[in-house]
Amino acid sequence: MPNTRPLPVRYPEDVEHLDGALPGELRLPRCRRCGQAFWPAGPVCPRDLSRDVAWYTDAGTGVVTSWVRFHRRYFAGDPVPYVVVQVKLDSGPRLTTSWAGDADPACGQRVAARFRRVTDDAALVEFGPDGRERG
Amino acid sequence: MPLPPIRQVAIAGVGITALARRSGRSPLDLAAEALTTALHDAGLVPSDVDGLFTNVGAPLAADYDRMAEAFGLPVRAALQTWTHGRFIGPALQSAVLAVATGMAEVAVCLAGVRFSGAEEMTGGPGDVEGARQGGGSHGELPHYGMTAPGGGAAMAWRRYCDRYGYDPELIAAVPMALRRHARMNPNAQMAKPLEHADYLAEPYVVEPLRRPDFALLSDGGAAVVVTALDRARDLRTAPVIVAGMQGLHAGPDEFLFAPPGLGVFSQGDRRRVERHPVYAMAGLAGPQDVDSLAVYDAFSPNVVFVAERFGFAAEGEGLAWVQDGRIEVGGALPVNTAGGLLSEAHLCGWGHVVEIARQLRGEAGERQVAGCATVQWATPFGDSVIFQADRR
Repeated sequence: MPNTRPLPVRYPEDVEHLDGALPGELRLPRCRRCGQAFWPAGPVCPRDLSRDVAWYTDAGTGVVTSWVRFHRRYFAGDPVPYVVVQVKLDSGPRLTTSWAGDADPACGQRVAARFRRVTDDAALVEFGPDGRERG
Repeated sequence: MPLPPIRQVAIAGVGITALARRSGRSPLDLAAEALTTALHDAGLVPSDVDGLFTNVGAPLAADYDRMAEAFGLPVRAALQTWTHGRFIGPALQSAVLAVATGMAEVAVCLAGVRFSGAEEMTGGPGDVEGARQGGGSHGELPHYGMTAPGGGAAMAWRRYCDRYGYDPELIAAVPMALRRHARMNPNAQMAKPLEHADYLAEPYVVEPLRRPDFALLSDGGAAVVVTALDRARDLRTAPVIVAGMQGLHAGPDEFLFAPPGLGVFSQGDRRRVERHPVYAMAGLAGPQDVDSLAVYDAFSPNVVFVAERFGFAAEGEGLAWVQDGRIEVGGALPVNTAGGLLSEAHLCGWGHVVEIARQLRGEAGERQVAGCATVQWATPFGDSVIFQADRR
């Protein structure tokens, strides 16, 4: 077993989201019956069990609702300390990702999605300060 | 044909081994010692045991079938959940239900746990929870460095403190109280004092939580003998009555280390008052009738979250409520009087049940809660069991 940070597991319901990150798109599932986006992905809508679920590209904007800083190194090569944020998207779902900002995040801070290549064929969405609010 | 009338059920004996960070002993060896001690406590022998229930198995602990084989137990009702502390309540409840319905006469809850050598299960490369779709019930996403159950607990804690306007360091009151309890428990591992300055000098593991906020991963074993109350009254030791139970909760608004509606992971943002049938089942009006509380304290904030979820404190007031000795022996509601997962040992919660029996039998020595007649087990994930002394 490698002792470095793993790549995400490619569950069938997650492939669209994971592969969407390569061209820099935040792909999320949305129920066509109730209209709600949801996360984590799944075969049906968690609100009404509908199978009529379609993928869309989210604007990727939201606010920080919590964040933590890992001081303990769990994976070899991880530069500790590092920050992980939880973001509530304007579209509703909450996502957890690494933090792409230089300064510490703050709860309530506006954020936007960006995309980081981790291997030749894998990229991850992550959040950082919303550039439109800079300066 | 309907099920038969259910029988009243009691704990007839308990046993716990010596505890260590690294024992060098096998899970099976630890389980054997715990079983022997508990059967002696109850005045029973292995051939009496026909039910075996555990919440943990290999590689962390001994599997139910290996224990039955190795210890010569003629088991006809068994359960082993997926290896997790969170299932201690359901495992105990299954044993109670098996005895209540007559599926078993003497059901033993048994766990020999060896965390030493298995540390990576709780964060890093061996963290199987992190491979679960959507992050699993700890909210782990190892590809983002979000590994270890403590990551989810820390995320929930920051959210709580931001939402209700607290300094996260006020959580120190919980590990300090449990350390004081451990110092009155000769079998607990953490004997070193932990006062506020000591807490602040401890390193962060996952900020805002520090090392004393994390459970003490340990080697040890514990056993709980469950039988019908009528039979227990004829045995060696005073019975402890299982008075009420409610089950483990799950759903989009549940997160393992937060009350519903706190707004972490898939949770919504709306807190709500819940119905807790465990109190009425035990003949109690509510949490005000509880003398001592046992919380699954894998992380310190669990105590705050249980206090709010079960109505000991109102929404957003739990962190203020745990301050100033309220949860210490001698305070209004002593919590985890043996030291808990934080300062006694992480035996997946079985140590708490052993302590509940000791308190209700009046055998807790220096840390005995005066007039202790009702003790509640409760977790942030909603399950609960209420135990009472036999007032016959």
